[in-house]
Amino acid sequence: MKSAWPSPLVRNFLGCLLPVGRLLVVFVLLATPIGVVAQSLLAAEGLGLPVESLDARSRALGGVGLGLTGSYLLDRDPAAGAGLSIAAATATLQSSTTTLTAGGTVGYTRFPVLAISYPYRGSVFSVRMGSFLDQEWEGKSTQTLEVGGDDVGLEDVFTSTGSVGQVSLGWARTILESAAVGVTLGSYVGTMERVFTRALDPEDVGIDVQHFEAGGRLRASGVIVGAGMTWDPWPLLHVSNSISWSDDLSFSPTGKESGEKGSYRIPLELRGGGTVTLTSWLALHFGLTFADWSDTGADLKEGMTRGGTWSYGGGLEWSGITLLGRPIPIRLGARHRDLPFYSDGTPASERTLSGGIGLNLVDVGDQPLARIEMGIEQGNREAGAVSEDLLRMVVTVRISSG
Amino acid sequence: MSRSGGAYKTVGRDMQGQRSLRTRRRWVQILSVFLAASGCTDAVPTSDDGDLIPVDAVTVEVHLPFASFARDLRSFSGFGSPADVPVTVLAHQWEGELESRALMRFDSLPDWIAVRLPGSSSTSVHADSMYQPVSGKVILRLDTLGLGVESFELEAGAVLTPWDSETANWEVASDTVGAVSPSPWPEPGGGPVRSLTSATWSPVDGDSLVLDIDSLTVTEWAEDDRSDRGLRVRGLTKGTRLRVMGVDLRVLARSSINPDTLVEVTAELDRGTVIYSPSPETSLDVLQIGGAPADRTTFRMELPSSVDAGVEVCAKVHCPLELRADRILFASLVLHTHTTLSPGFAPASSIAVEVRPVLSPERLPRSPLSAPVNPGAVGLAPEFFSSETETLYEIPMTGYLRTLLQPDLGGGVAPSPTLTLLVRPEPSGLEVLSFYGVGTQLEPYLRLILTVSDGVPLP
Repeated sequence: MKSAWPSPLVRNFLGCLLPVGRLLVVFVLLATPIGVVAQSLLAAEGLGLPVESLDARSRALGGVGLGLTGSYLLDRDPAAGAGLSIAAATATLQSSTTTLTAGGTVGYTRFPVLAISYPYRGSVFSVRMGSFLDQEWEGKSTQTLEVGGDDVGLEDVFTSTGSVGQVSLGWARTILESAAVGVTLGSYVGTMERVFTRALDPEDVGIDVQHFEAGGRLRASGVIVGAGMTWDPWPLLHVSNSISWSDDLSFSPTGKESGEKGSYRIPLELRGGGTVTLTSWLALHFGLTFADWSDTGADLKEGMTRGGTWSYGGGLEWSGITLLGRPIPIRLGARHRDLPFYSDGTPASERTLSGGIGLNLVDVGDQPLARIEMGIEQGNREAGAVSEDLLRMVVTVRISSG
Repeated sequence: MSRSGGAYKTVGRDMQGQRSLRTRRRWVQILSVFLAASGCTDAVPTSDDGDLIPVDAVTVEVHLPFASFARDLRSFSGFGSPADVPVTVLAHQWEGELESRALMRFDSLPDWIAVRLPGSSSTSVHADSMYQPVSGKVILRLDTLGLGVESFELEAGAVLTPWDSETANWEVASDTVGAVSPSPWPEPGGGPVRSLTSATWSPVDGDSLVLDIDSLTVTEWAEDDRSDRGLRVRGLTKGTRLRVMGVDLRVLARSSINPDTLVEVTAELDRGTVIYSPSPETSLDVLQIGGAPADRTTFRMELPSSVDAGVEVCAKVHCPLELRADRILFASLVLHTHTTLSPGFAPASSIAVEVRPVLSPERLPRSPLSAPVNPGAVGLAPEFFSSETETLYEIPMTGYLRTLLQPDLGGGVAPSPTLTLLVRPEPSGLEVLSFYGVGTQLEPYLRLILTVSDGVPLP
């Protein structure tokens, strides 16, 4: 049934947005989770730096990606989209800079969450793409070696590029007036290229010297299954839980390349979160995740994983401001997360403070048709001698079409 | 007190400055976030901590003796002609042995000269094809090949025997295709000649020497159908050598239309050559390349599948080392210079050595060659061949060797394994380059710098 727009103004506005929606679909089709990465030298440890596929609202509220009020497509909350009654697409753009221990600054722009949902006969089906592990880093070493009795200057460079993402299909359905369930089934995707290069100094050897290069490209695979439930036990409390189980994350050489295959156990991840409505314009959001990476440690070098890792945070959402009759929610939050891999034998963690606003451009009843969420997050990662300052800017655009 | 106050003020300013710096840094950070957002660009985080690199690579140097990588070592002679040398050398008992003379043949004189009619005030000129040579002069531009000699005596003579610039040598005046047998000079060394003039040249007089030529000789040289026309120049000062950098013939001609008019016409060098004696000495223990006609040394590369890196190296890596293209970071053919066997042929200037693949080894010595494996080779200084101390000379060939082992690096086409060593340009002069030969203590060898690793491990 075709939706009835509340006014010609809204219809015209959405008419303008539809091309944007199409563009978003193109983005979704073109962008692969391979590009969904973050950047840190901690990506050199273990399997890389875990990257959370969070939207701008979750980031701004210090959340862990579930338990938000309203109908949303959240990568980590399979049941969150159950209330959507019209097709929607959402994309999150994340731009970040990280100031490394040595003082250098690195930056990137990525799409950490892309999702499309389509309601059909009371259920909501979705396609989601999210980030998982960042493996982009580079190590350099300059030294002098004795080669054939002469001192030869050389530079070793190890470059790791690529990342692991997740693509999944989701199903969600409201089972009670106050409860919904959802499941996802997906796979790891993405490639990782690890290349070692040794370059000798031509002044020490000769002009015709060439580089030594070793390495190759690995493709990630593995099945992921997720399940979740949302529940409103009281009108002022909304809670969500989800669980994510994963088959081994496998790396195998791509194409005709030969090389070693690797398989790593990925832990079960438990998530919980919710929102308490404190007043008509103020809400408290909180979230928590846990995963035990001990088994993964057995597949890696000894002493590389820290075991149980927690991620928690929370924030406040104030909806007391309106602009041209539209609410402009303002959010503040704080978050902590343990990183699963040690850095030089030291546990690593990330702490951030965040803020953001939302622009509810068009809503029809409780169905958001066009929204822009913005979040900014500042914090640091620390692990022994490693200390990185980070600043993230996240924008989520969501467009629905009846 | 005032000093303390001043110090406090300074601290206050510093703190303000730090706050300001922090604020500025934050704004720069925020700005860079937006810039990054607009460009979707990356900057990979880089660490200087070598311990992060999970690869253990070993770099070693290996020397392969000539016999372990080369086969069919052969020398070939006769490439090019003395007529092709860029600079002619005149030598007289140079190093007690070398005698070299220049033979030159000039272009014919112009068919006509332009003159005015007698008594005419008009500016128009008329072609005079009946003009008569009156006298001539040969202008030689000379250069010494070292210090120590103050003057050089030279003699010019008109060649009386038909000769061919491409095939003439000390003994033979002509050895052209189709001839029954080579035609020798009546007197070895381009003789006999009709003596024209002799003159003394000193470098302090300038770089040119003028030799007067009589009208009879000029008239003979003007007849371009005469194969015996030509000028022979030789040095008469013992133990010297000179370079002839250029030559031309200037003829004073009298007009047949206006006999009062003398016109100078110029004839440039048509063909020339240098004839010399004796030939350079050879030895099986010495690799010689160069000379005119030039010598080349050819061999076929047969690289072993693995190399023995020696006890010290094998302590670091698994031996024997498989020789693979990706492991070769540097490869060079190493030669040691040898004193020139015939001192008269020792290089007078830098000469470069090229190594070029032989495209059709079965057609040697006349096979076409491929592009050099060491383009832009640097010349070898003459002193390397004149002293008793040998000099190590490396010819880099990394790219060639890698492609030989792994043809797809060169677009799937394997280069020829047969290589030839030659001088550039060829011939570059009478000088030969000498290197210690195979079987000697300082025989050629292949220097390889290899890097070996067990590959990039999984995380």
